[in-house]
Amino acid sequence: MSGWVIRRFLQMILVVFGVVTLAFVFAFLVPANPARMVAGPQASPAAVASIAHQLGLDRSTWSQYWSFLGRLVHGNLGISFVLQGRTVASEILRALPYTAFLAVGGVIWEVIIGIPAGVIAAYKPRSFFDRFATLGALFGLSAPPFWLGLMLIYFLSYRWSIFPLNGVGSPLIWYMILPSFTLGVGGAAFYSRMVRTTILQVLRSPFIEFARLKGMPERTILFRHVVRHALIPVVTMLGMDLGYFLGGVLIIESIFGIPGVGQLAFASISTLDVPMITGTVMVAAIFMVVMSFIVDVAYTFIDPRVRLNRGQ
Amino acid sequence: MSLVEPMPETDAVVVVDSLSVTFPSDEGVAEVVRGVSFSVGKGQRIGLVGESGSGKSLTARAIMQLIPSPGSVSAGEIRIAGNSAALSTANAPQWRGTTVAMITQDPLSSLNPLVRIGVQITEMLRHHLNYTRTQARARAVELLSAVGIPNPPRTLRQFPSVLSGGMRQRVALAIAISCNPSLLIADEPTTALDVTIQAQVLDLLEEMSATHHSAVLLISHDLGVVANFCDEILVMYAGRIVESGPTDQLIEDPQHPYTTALLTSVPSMTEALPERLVSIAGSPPVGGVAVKGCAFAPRCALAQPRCFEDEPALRQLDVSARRVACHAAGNATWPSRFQGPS
Ligand SMILES: Nc1ncnc2c1ncn2[C@@H]1O[C@H](COP(=O)(O)OP(=O)(O)O)[C@@H](O)[C@H]1O
Ligand code: SF4
Ligand SMILES: [Mg+2]
Repeated sequence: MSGWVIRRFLQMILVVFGVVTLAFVFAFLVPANPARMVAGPQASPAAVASIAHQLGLDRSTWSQYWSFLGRLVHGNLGISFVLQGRTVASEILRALPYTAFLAVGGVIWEVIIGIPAGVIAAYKPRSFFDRFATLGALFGLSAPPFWLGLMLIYFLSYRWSIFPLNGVGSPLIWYMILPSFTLGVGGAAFYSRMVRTTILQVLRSPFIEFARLKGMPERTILFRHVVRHALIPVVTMLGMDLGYFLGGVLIIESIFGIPGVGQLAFASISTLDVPMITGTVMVAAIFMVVMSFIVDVAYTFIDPRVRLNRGQ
Repeated sequence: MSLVEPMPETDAVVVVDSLSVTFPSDEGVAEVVRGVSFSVGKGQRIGLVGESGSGKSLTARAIMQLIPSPGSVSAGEIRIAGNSAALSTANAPQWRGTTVAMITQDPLSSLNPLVRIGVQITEMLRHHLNYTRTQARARAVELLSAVGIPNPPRTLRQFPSVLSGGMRQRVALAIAISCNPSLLIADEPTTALDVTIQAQVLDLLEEMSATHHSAVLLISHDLGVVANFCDEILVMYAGRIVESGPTDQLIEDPQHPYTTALLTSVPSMTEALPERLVSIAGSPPVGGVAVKGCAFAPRCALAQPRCFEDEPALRQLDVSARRVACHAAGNATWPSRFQGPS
């Protein structure tokens, strides 16, 4: 088992390395002269050349790659071309808490709506609730987030003044309720359907029948024997959602005016701030890779059948 | 066991009285169990035998009050330990698992793969008998060693996937007997297992029912298995009991042509016959389709025109405790034809 975790960990490191290398190559491919961008449009050729030297752009590709990796190890993602004197790392660290709050909130909404809705719908198939949940899921899956977000802002914030209108403030959670809800609705809809399907399947399985033959109460059967099965695929996908959201969710961040990683990345693309683009893309990719590692490891703990296979 | 002289109900663990089970079907309703009556006395071992689809499992599930939806008990009554109406679906879980326990065919999937074996045993003791955690654990260790699990404390912490099919059926058996049921229903407990393991599980079933003084209703499609194990046998065909009686009488002198046919398909019982593994030609009527006359008639070597018209009633045969549903049984003037496979 631990051997498997170590192998999986090394594999993750390898993927991270690949991501970082791709980011480096990408920065090279961008048709912009970084020295010129840093120096500004009015700078003389001599000033540009001196900055190019400062940035190490006159060295060989390999040597630049090495120092790029060396800087990364120390958490140095370079200096923004556009925001004078700011490091990429500090900008990302400033935006990340908002995005993290939003991402975790989105996943929480997915869980607290999706799972109970799926469980109840499966236990009462074709009931009023089931039909209602089906409609709700259809709505949640098809409503465009920007539309839903604007509707929520219009009614709950503007007309009825329940929630703050825009931006971030204190307490942060108050500002994050609508954005995270908007973020989580699609997943909630999706998981409610998935949980419903899984549970309907589990309810037909021989071990549930055996539990009933044992005379166990339905409540115990539900919580001890049924829900676990429905949670396994959900946990896996929730982990991936979290990894994805942590990379920044531009639409939600811009509708609700949240200064998160998504907005940062978008701004850096529009200003061709190459180190910032590289940095945000790298961070997003690494979140995905790390979350998939965590999910894989968690999976072995949740599902003993998987644990058994991986133990060998 | 006979209809004419019913067993005193106080001695019966379970009485099944004119049970019918139906499912909605394209043609209205399909009656897949039709007027089945029998009773199981204390400590008795009864076998229920018949081809796949004859309604054995549904009879068992009706006793457990767990007919899969959309099926339902359309007629008749189940009385458990002398109580009839009181033990309806509403409070079924109180006797389900305690007074009557049941194990099913598929040992590989009757234990929850995501729940530790220990929990799957102790949850029942804790729920039904209000054992403390420690008591339940101690009892679980006892039970597992009684069914021959090598290292009970370790097994308690494990998940079912580490055990073989035979071991899992042992665990299921340990669970089923854990609350000392008066009746243990075993629905094809060995069908999914290797032949060598089958014998072990049956021995264990015998031993466990003896030590716990449980009656057993053993369900199988294999008359050989049932005959070795049971005091009495019920033969089921197309949802009805077509013959019943004490094992030795039924084996030595089968009255229903279907019983005869089943016997010829059991190799060890037909040493005299040259062709050993004969199967019964044809197939039973499917899924409770209403048939006119005797359901076995299309396959019966003794069938006469009358058999396609009147359904034979299940009647007691002369002085013995045997019942049979066949026009030819005990009828000396019935035209005889060559019996068995041609
Ligand atoms: N869930 C169900 N829906 C419809 N028909 C069923 C269902 N379960 C069983 N049946 C019908 O009832 C008949 C008897 O089933 P069962 O009691 O399982 O037979 P056995 O255990 O003797 O093999 C089957 O032939 C089948 O047609
Ligand atoms: S009633 Fe007729 S058809 Fe049915 S089993 Fe007897 S002899 Fe055969
Ligand atoms: Mg069956």
